[in-house]
Amino acid sequence: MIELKNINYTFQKGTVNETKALSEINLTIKSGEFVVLIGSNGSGKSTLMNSLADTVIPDSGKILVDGIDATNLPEHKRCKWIARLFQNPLLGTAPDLSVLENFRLAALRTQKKGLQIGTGKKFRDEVADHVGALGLDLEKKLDQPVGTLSGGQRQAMTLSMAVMDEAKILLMDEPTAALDPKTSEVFMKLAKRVIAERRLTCILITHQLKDALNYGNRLILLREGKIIHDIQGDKKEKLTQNELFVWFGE
Amino acid sequence: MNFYLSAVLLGLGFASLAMGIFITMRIFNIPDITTDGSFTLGGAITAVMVSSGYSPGLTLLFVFAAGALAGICTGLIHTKLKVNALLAGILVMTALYSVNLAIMGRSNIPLIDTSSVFNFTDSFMSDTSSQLLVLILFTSLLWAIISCLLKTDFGLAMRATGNNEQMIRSLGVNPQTLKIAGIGLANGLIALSGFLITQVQGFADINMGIGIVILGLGSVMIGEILLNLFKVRSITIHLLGVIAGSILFRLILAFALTIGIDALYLKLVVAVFVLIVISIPNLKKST
Repeated sequence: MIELKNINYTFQKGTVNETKALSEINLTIKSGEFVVLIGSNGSGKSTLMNSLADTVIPDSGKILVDGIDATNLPEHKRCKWIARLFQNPLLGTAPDLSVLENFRLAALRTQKKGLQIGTGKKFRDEVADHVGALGLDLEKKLDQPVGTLSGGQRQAMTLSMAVMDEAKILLMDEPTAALDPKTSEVFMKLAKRVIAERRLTCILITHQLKDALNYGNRLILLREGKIIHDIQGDKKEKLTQNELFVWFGE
Repeated sequence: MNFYLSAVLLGLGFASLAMGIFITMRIFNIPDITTDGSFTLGGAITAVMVSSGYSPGLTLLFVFAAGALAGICTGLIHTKLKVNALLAGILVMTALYSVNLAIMGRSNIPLIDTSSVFNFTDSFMSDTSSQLLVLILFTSLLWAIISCLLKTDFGLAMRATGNNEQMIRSLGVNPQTLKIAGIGLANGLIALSGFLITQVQGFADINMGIGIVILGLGSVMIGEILLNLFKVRSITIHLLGVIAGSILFRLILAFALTIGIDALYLKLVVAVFVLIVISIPNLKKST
């Protein structure tokens, strides 16, 4: 469970360019919920997500993850629970390392990276199985540097790496923004399956209204740092694209 | 011929320097100028310890530790005090000049009739062939150790840090720790190179490290040009290329001297040559 309590955040506080990014955000996300976050540019979506992942430290307020105060935990300690996917598919993988080596690091996300060589036969088979499920033929490219793969393959790989270990929360900030429509669809279906299989709590930021309707079981619209709409369950199911347009036009 | 043989000896001696530069330059993308100081540091400690009768083995441990410490200082200044990496290196290098002078007590220490790493084969081999044998063994051992290290989980995390710092942070690693460790390791290797070269040439000099970082960089680049010919990507082979680059670089310099270039202009030749090597890939791209 993630609880955000009275979160405030202002960019460039005290200057003429002061912008209120988040104002008095109160939000509780239950385990297993798949929240889609929408809103126009500058509405605070990414800031909200970054405050969960610790790249943004709120000016005031509290963030609790499973009851533990995570407000001031550095990013590399928070990763125990949180896996992230970025807009840029290149940010989730190390291009000069092979597919196998990238997976090795991902498998050790919450563990110590010690002086043993862990990319032996056993691990190789495990990864081959794991990536086989993606249907991208990556199992044949285990020794290839990741930099030689396409953006779509790398994004799918990042997703698959994110769930190697025991992450409970998956944050995705426009993961398909850099992918073509067909690859995007393949990716989103894959994400949906993985999230359901692993019972992950997930937050997805998207500008694709179609994706916002098709995926997730809760939809939140932000405007000027405030939560304007928050619907879930049946209500979300029945939502139409037209209604969403109206929301944006308000 | 003997001239080229001594070039090979120097090339092997400088191979661990080149591996150190490979770690800072290629793995962390940091141009680490500490090198100039830590190389001389290795030479200074070697000259003082060996001429006071300490065994080369013990000296080696001290040299590596001292070099690593110098690198750790640079790493700390860079990561904790947020000083630009280049500047952090220059600061430590400058400070090391005094440290080295204090260690040596004077600006040059010749090693005459002292024990060295090359001694143990004395009874059955000529000087040069025993040097060659020891240097080959030493370099191979370092090659094996470093390539294994870079394949361990720790090594993977190190390599990923230079590649994609954002990723490594989201994978639960503090990139600062890895950088400090990596720069420390690199400078330990560079100091070991000072240890070897001092014994190959038979003296340590306070100025022996000037411009040495360029030598390492040139070796790494030459190695990569070789590797591109063969299209290899494995880290083990990459390191082997770096070692080959170091030897080749020395051979090219020896050749420059034999065709009559004045030794006075050697550093100029090195600089121009490295410039050419660095720009080859870029020139190819633009055409």
